[in-house]
Amino acid sequence: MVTLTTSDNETFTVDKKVAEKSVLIKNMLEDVGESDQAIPLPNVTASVLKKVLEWCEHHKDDPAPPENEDKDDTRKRTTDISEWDQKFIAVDQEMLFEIILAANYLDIKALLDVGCKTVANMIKGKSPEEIRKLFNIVNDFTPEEEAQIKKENEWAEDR
Amino acid sequence: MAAFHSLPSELLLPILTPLPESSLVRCASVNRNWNAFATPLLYRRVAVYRWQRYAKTRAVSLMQTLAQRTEVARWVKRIDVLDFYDGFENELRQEEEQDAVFQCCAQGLANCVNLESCTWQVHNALTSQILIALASLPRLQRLEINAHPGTYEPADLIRVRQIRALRLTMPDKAAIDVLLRWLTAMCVEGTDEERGTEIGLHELKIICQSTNYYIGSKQLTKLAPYLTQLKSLHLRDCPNADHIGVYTILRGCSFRMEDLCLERISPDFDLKELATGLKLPRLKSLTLTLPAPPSPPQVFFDAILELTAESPLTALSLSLSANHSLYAYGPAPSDCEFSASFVRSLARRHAQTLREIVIIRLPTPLEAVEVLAAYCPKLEVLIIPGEEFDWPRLGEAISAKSLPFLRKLHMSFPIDPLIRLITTHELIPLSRLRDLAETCSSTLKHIGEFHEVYEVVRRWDRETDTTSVVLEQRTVIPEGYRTGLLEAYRTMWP
Repeated sequence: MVTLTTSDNETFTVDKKVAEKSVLIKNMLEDVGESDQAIPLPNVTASVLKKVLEWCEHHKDDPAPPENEDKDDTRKRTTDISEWDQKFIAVDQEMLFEIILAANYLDIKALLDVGCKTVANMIKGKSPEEIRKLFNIVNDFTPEEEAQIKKENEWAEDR
Repeated sequence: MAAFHSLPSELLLPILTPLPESSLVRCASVNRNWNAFATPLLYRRVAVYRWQRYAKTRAVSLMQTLAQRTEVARWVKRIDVLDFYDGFENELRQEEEQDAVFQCCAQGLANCVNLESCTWQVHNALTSQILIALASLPRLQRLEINAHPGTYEPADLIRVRQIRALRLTMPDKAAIDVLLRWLTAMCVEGTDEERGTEIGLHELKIICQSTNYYIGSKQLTKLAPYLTQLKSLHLRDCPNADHIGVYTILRGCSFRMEDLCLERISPDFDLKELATGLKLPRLKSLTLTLPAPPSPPQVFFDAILELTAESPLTALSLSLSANHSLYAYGPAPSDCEFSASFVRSLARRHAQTLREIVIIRLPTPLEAVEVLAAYCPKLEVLIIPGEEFDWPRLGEAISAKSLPFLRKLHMSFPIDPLIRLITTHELIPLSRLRDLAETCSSTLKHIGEFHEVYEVVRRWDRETDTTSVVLEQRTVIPEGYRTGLLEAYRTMWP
C-alpha cells in the first residue's frame, strides 16, 4: 500500500498498483525504495485526487501503452472515448481542467488523453467566437490579422 | 479554481491533434497562441478532394497560401491535390491566367521544403515548372501524378529522381517511353556508399485507366533490371500486361515483394503460369481480378494458394471487373463465387495472419462469410458485395464475439450491374448499416457502402445512461480510388 498526501493535507492510502498508474509516483517510489512515508502531492487537492484515483483503480489492469507510439506522422484522428471514461469525465469544466492538470502533473498519459479528447470534443464544430466564449479566451489579433489568417486558411474551411 | 487558461499552453497540442481540418481551421483564428499550435497541424497534411464543395477554387487558394507564406509551407509533409480550377473564364486572358496559376503552384510546391509525399492527380495541370519544383525537394519520397499528356515535357519527369515510390495514372506513350530513362536515373541517383544496395524504386503503381496507350509486357521486361528493389507493384487496367512481363519483374525482387496488385490486366494473364516456380516469402497483400468466365475459377483459386504458399499473407482482395461482369455472359456459372470451400483452404494456410479481406463484384455467399469469421478471428477489414443478405444471419456471423478486432466493414458494389444503373446511392438503408455496426466489435471505426464511408461513434447519453451507435461524418471515396477499395481505405483512413 502507498500513502499520498494532498495539498489540503488529506491522506489517501491505495494499492501500489493503483498509485503506480502515475509515472511520477512510480518514479518516486523507486527512488525512496521501501518506506512507509507518505508521498506529498502539493499540486493536487483531495477532491481531484479522489477522482483521479477512481480512474486509476478502474484502469489498474490495463496493459501499459506501447512506448513512443505514433511518432509524428500517424496522427491520432479519433476523439473516441470508451464508455466508462465518458461517464467518468462527465464533470463540470472546472473539474475537467483540474483532472487534466493533475494527470499532467502526475504523468498519467492515458487519463491526460481522455481529458484532452474531451476538450477536443467540446471544440469540434464551434466557431472561433464560440470557442473564445466557451473558455474565456481573449482575442489578441488585430482585425487585419484575423482577416489575413482567414483568407490564408480559406481552402480548409467547411463551406 | 481551474479554468482553461490555467492549463499549460503545450497541452493545446494533444487537445488539437485529433481534430479534423474543418475544426483546426477555426482554432487557428481563436488567438495567437492557438494559431501557433493549430497551423502546423492544419498544414502537416493538406488535401483537396474532388468531392469537396468548391474543390477547384480551394486548390488554387491553397497553392496561393503556400506560394506566399514560406513559413507556413515549411510545415507541409504531405500534399494531395485531386481537383483543380480549370474554368478560366475570361477567354481573352485565359492563357495568361492559367500561366499565373501554374506558376503559383510551382512556387507553392517549391516552398514545401519538407514535403515527403505529393499527389498531383489533376488532369492537364502538370507543367514542367511543377516538375522542376518537385525535383528540388530533398525529402520527397513519394510521387503520385496524373501523367496525362498536355502541359508538361515528358523528359522533365526524369528530373524528379529522388523518389522511392511512384504512382502514375493515365500515362500516355511519351510518359511510358520516358519511364526506362527515368528509372535508370533513379538508380544512378541512389548509388552512394551509405545506402548500399538500396537503389531504385521501392514502390511502383501504374494505372492506365482511360488512356489510349497501355504499358505491356514488352516494356515491363525492359524495366525489370531497374526494379530489383520493389516491395510493392500495382498494375491496374493494363490489358497488354500479362504473366510474362509480371514474372520478369517479380523474378528480380521476389524475396522483397510485400504488396502485389494485378487488376484488370491482360485477358491472357495466367496466374497458374506466374505461380509456377515463384516464391514470395514476404508477400503480405495480394490483389487480383478473376479471369472472365468461362475460365474455371477453381484453377485460379488453386494458383492463389500456390503463389502464397510461403507468404505471410495479411490481405487478400479479389474482384470481377465491371466489364467482365457475370451478367454480360448470361447466367452465372454456379461455381464462380468466393466459395466457402476456397475460404476453408485459404484459412487453413493463412488464418493466423489474415487481417483484410476485400471482395468486389464476386458473388459471396453468406456461408463463405461465416467460414471466414469462424476461422480468421484476426480480421480487421472486411469488404463484401452489398447484397440482399439475410441480415440477422450476417450480423451474427461478424458479431463482436467472432471478429473482436474488426475495424472496417464495407458493402461494395452490388453484383447485378442493373441495380447499379438504377440506384445512385444508398442501396442499403442507413439504419441497416447502423444496426450492423451495433452488433460488431466496439473496435469498428468505419462502415460504408459503395462510395460512401461513415465514422462509427459510440456515444453515451448522460440523461438516459444509454450508449448508442451513431454514424457520422459521411465521406465519399475520391474517384481516383474507387476501383481499388483496399487502397482507398489504406490511403484515406489508415
